[in-house]
Amino acid sequence: MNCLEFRQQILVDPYTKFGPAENHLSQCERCQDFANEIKNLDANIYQALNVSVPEGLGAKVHLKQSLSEQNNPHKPQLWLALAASLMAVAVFMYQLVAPSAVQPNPTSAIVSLVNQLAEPVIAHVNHKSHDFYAVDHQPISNTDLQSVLSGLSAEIGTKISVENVLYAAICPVDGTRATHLIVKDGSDKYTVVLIPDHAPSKAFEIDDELWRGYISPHPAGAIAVLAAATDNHAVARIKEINDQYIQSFYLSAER
Amino acid sequence: MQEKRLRYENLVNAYNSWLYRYAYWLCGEKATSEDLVQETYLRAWRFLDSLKDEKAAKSWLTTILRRENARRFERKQLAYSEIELDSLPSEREDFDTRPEVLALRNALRLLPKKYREPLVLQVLEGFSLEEIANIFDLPRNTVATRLHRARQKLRKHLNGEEQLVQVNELP
Repeated sequence: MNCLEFRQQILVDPYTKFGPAENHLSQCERCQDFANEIKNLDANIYQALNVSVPEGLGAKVHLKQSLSEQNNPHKPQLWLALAASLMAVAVFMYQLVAPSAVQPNPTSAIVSLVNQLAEPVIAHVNHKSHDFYAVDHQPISNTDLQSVLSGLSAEIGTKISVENVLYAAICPVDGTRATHLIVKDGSDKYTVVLIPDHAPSKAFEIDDELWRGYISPHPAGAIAVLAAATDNHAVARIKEINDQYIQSFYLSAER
Repeated sequence: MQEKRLRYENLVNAYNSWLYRYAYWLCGEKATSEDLVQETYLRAWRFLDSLKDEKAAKSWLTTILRRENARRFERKQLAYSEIELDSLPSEREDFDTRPEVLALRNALRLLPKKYREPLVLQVLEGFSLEEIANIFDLPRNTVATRLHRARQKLRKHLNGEEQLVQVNELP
């Protein structure tokens, strides 16, 4: 281990204990000084972070929990009944109003269930969103987009302008190679994930704490169209956008 | 029921201080931090049966609190401009008042959230890289990079080599 490697390690964890670092530390005076400086920095960080806790906080937590139990002994049952009623009304209304919006099959009503695919998709976009939503991305080049899409034998329809694609990458999702895109529509941003080798039997609504959208069957797999839950305008249009994107993205015939 | 209550009380007694401090560095307000801790424990009570391994309790509660904080923003629909950045730890009576610690407190306030959060977990409560990676659902190397940059940025800021600047951030 050289000085650079040691210092990188000490900045990640000043109290790291492993052989190579210990050996280097015992032999390098400058790195001993550096390690002491960082340990001192950490001690001060600890003091700065260590705010005092309000007196009796634990007792307040116990009290609130007890009161909550006393005041709402039947709350779970009421909540479940209400949720079931709303679900039934929502499914009924959906079948009346838009029986073929997501899929021609009338039995494929959108339900608020998360299928097995939702979890890895959300986990992936959660992981990536730190990068995506922190900065304004510039549209990617047509060459880059085609390169990504061709990696999955996917194509993009004419309803979406290439200039509106802000990001495109092949990403591992649930053990398969998925195409991950960020598409701009006006001022809204939508995440689209095309997942081959998965065949959901019907469309599922995603109602995650951070994401809203749908995972739907697709001619050669599944397509997820998501909006950030905090983006009200994008969420309000998610149904319309989902239908539009299902038509716009497709996998080429040779797949 | 008695056994569940005993488990719950142990969790409250063991981790309420940690959760309050973590909440405080997430939201910067005493009252909101208390609310977050209360909501975290209410949810923990409801789902206590899902906690199979007591060793994972601290990470489990921390994850619940992060989600409660995200829900808080969702409920209030806070916009960038509504986040009171100046409110992040400013109550001096709660702090060590040595100049170097005050300077660090200010630097921590300016440190981007993605660097500050893992640092709080590691320094204040001794979470391992693996535990932090699990809580944030990030690769271990990403967490290592953020911790490295967090200390590097603080160090350079304090040495006058690089000034941290205020940025508005979503939760």
